[in-house]
Amino acid sequence: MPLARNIFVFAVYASLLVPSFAAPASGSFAKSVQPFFEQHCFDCHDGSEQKGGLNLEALKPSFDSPEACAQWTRVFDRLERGEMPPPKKSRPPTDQQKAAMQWIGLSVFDAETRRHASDGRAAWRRLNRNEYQNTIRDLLFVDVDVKAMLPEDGLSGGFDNVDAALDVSAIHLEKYLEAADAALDVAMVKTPKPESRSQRYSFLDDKREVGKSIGKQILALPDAAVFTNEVYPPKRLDGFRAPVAGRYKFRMSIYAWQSPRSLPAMIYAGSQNPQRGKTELTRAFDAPPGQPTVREWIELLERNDTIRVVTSGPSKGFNDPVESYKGPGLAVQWVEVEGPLVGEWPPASVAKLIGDLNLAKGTMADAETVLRRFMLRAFRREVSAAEMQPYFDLVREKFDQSGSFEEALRMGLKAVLVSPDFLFFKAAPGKLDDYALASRLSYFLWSTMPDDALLALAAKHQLTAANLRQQVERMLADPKAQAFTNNFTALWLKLRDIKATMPDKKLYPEFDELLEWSMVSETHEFFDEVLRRDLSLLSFVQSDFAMLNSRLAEHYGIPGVDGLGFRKVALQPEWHRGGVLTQAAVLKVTANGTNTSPVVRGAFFLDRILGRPAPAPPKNVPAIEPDTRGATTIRAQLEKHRDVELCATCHSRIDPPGAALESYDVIGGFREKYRAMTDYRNRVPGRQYGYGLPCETDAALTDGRKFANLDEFKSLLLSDATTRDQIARNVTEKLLTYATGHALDFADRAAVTDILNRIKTKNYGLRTLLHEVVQSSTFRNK
Amino acid sequence: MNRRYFLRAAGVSLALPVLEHFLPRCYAAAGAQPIRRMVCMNTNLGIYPGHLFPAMAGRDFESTPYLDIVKDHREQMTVFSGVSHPEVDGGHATEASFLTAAPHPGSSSFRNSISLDQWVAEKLGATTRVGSLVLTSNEGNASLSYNRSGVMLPADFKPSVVFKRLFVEGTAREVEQQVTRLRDGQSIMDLVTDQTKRLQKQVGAQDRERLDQYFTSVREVEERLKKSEEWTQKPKPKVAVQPPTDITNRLDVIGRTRLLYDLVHLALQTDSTRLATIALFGLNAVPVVQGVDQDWHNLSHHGKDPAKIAELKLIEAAQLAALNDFLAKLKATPEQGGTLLDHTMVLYGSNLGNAASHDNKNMPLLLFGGGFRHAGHLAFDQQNNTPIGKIFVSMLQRFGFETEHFASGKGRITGLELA
Repeated sequence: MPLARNIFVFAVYASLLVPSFAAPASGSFAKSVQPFFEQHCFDCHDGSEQKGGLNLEALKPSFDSPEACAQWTRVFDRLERGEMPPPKKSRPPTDQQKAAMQWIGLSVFDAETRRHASDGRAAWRRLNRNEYQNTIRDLLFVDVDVKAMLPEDGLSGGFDNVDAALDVSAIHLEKYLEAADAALDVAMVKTPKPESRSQRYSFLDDKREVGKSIGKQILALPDAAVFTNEVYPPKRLDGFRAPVAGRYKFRMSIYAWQSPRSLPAMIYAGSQNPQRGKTELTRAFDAPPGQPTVREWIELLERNDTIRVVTSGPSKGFNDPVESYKGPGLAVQWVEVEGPLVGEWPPASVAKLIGDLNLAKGTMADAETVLRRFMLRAFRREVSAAEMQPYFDLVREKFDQSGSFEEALRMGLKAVLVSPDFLFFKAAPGKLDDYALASRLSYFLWSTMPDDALLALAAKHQLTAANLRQQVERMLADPKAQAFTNNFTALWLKLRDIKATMPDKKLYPEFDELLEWSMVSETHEFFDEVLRRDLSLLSFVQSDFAMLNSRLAEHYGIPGVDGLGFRKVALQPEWHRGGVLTQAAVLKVTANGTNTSPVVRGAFFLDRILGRPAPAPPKNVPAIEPDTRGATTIRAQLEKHRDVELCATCHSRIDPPGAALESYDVIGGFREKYRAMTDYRNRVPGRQYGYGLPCETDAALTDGRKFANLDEFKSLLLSDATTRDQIARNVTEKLLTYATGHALDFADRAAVTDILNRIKTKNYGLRTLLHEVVQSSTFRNK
Repeated sequence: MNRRYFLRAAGVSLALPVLEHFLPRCYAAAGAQPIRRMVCMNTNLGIYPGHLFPAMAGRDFESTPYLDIVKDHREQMTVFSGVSHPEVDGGHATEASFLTAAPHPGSSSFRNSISLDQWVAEKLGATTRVGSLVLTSNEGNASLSYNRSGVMLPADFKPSVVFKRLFVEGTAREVEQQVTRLRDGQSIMDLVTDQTKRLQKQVGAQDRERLDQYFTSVREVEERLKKSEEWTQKPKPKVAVQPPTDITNRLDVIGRTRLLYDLVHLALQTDSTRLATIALFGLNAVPVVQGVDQDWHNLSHHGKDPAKIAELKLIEAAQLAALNDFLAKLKATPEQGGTLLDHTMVLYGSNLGNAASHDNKNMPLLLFGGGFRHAGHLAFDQQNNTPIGKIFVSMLQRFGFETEHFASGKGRITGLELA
């Protein structure tokens, strides 16, 4: 490992800005570290003081466990970043610090490198819920919500697909048994082919609330019913109720009436009883002005479900007469529903699983054929006859005892679905074999099992560097790659919390579900665009474009965007947008629905964008209690906080980016003043809020450079080569973690530096990075 | 629907709950220790402290708006103040540690530990049809209960499903099918045991640990399947109650809570279980409560706005009124020479001390019934909180377990004696 070790050593000293480093001296703990600790650290971190809970006297020079390595890594990092000793204490002489860091760094590096060689870097882990759900879908060709049956997965370091987060326990196994039954119930369906039919409906013929409101809240044109933005009546398609659960194809003819611009038609599908169940915004379409247009889509419905159509824009006014209404409305001509969509029968699941076998008359030989085919796919590798035998034996025993081929086969399939070979990512230490590599790649980009093409390449040992590159391109072009964008952004940027808070409807009456849906789509579209065009990782901090639809453009005050489809929009400086930090979804998940906190957003920036998270607050420090009565600013409260020395160290890093982000409210709108409910002077007409104190967004970086707002803050960040590197390093680390299912070890830093050096010359492109990750030895080893 | 069930649904009551019939014989004997039970609830958006905590400590505390609601049970109540879980921080994340006391649930390397109810469930084993009820008021399956590996047990959300599991007898064919399924499960477990043993020979230390986890799980599931098989073949208790209709309107939190309370009451009364946890989730929406028209989560971040605090009070008072009715039901149910409340510890609280600032200190916590000499208001230091784990130790000892520790709690809580 001499090469990696050298790269590593270089990396360490490069960060210390001591490039003229010669060969490492062979120091020892007693010579290089012990005296250094005694002189510079024990004042605060000995057995009696233990500041910040750290007792260096008790820290043994031993590197046997991952925990010990992690602990020593923290010490190394504090020294490397110059955070310790704290600024007020005297600086240790550079050569002493170098020697101490060198000993610590190389000790951890050597220990981890040994462990990677003997055990492998990533530990075996089970599929997480998402992966399990997708794998069942692709393995059995069924749509079953098995995810909801499984216990929630934990997070480790913010990721739900890493080894440390994916323990297994009895409850999992119990639920896997149940989930396997649920999936097999659907996959081995025996019911007769459901009848599918097609019918056209018109809201003008409605017999219930919509029909009764025609001429009052709903306008009737000769060819269409026109909806405006009112809650009542709910625009339910009451004529249609799904006769059975299944997929239904909808076609709907719509246009925007009395409108110069498109209007949205939002579809809520599900149980439509207002007192019952969930209705979710499942999709939204544009209705172009004056021009009837047919929109078509497929909806997965439960029995008795139907859809509801909602538009936005102005409301007619509940009691205002229809005849004199001059505003825009959504005209719906007709809705056609076809379903349930049955396709071939028996369904693909049965056909692909058991072929044309007769379940009533199968033999043991048939069962073996089915199981053999199934196990190869379920275990995602070659399976020896000896490995298969116990499963055959189980089926034979059940067959003999029950006399039912179907029951026996089902039991075999079920056993496969709870076996460790199915549930775990398994690999031997060292280089991944072709199958393990195919699985790693597939779960990275698709969050599901490898497809036949990938397995075929693995079988032929053809996952070479060039083929891997080709496969990555092929897989990214597949719709399944949406899982990568969605899951990675859900974890990295916390978008999975998008529904965690509901904005205060008095302070933020403009918030609606279309906006929330658009927010998440914006970040997905943006990520996709950066990936598609191999744009720089620095685009995540600043970009000269945004991916917008009409709803977001309206929200951001950006003119000229008509329609719900997302498109690339060139940004003007006065719009104060660009990068992910100004995207509404990110701004929403870092706020609580009523107010923003510079601390929360600042900490998010340090952790997720800069990759230098602030440590947890010390014990017994109360959090700031927000006060929306409008008299005190958050800055005034924070300044009290910062006067305390204990708090100042971290808050001097957290608060400045947090302050800059104060220009954006809890739903990502740009603001210069806070909205307030009381103590305000200028109430906004028609609103229940007014404008209170101005946002104070100016601050200074720790090095003293001042900025007035987020735009200037971002410029400062990007003007600095070290910071640019750090931002790119952070994305690289997050991506490598997600891709390999293991949080980065200290020893992995060499590999990250190596990848960074390669992508730096290519403008830090995201697609380039993705390829480099897949080609890296970290990805290709266990 | 089987015949007996049909008759019952039609109003022909065949039998009232005959509790003694279902109690293990030893408990029926005179002088024996009574059966102990426990129900724990966490309402995860806090309880506004200004309306809860009395100013004065001790039995003669002056009541508060919230304590007024449960005043009928004042003699059977202890309200704790100045308590929290040490080092349990991270705002909303701390709901994971409400019954476990595991430190730093908000940190990236957090691992949970066993919850109070599951600690007891492990000891009780298969004494009852279900070891514990793990319930939630909300869609999704998040719960308060964690097993020894720190994995959250998925909660049941539909009362109708639990009711069916506990009280509705399947047809002979259904029972037979269920038994077959459980037996098949056991055979499958045998097979994967062999697979696991084979794999164990091939792996390094780190992976062996994971595989051992799997192996232990297999053994445990085998055991549980066996017990389930036994219980499947025993008749279920007959109850003269209509099966509940699930409330599908997720905004009707109070209605849902009441259904869960009724279910727990029935389960305890029939000794179908002795343990229940209910995760009472707040909403990022407007709950169905008279006079409330703002989002609940938002109200909890009231920013000291008196109008918001007033609305928040309406919700929290409705929650406490539901709790009060649950306690009244337990009290009105005679058993073992006392009432169900005498033998059921009911713990109600929140992981947030001050929801407005996400503060996890000074958590609101109420303990009812269960066989304590209740102490009214037990006030501890607001600055230097007493670990809630000590209250848990007291509860475990009340169960009859000889333990001095639970997580960060060492020794019993002072001031609360066993009755």
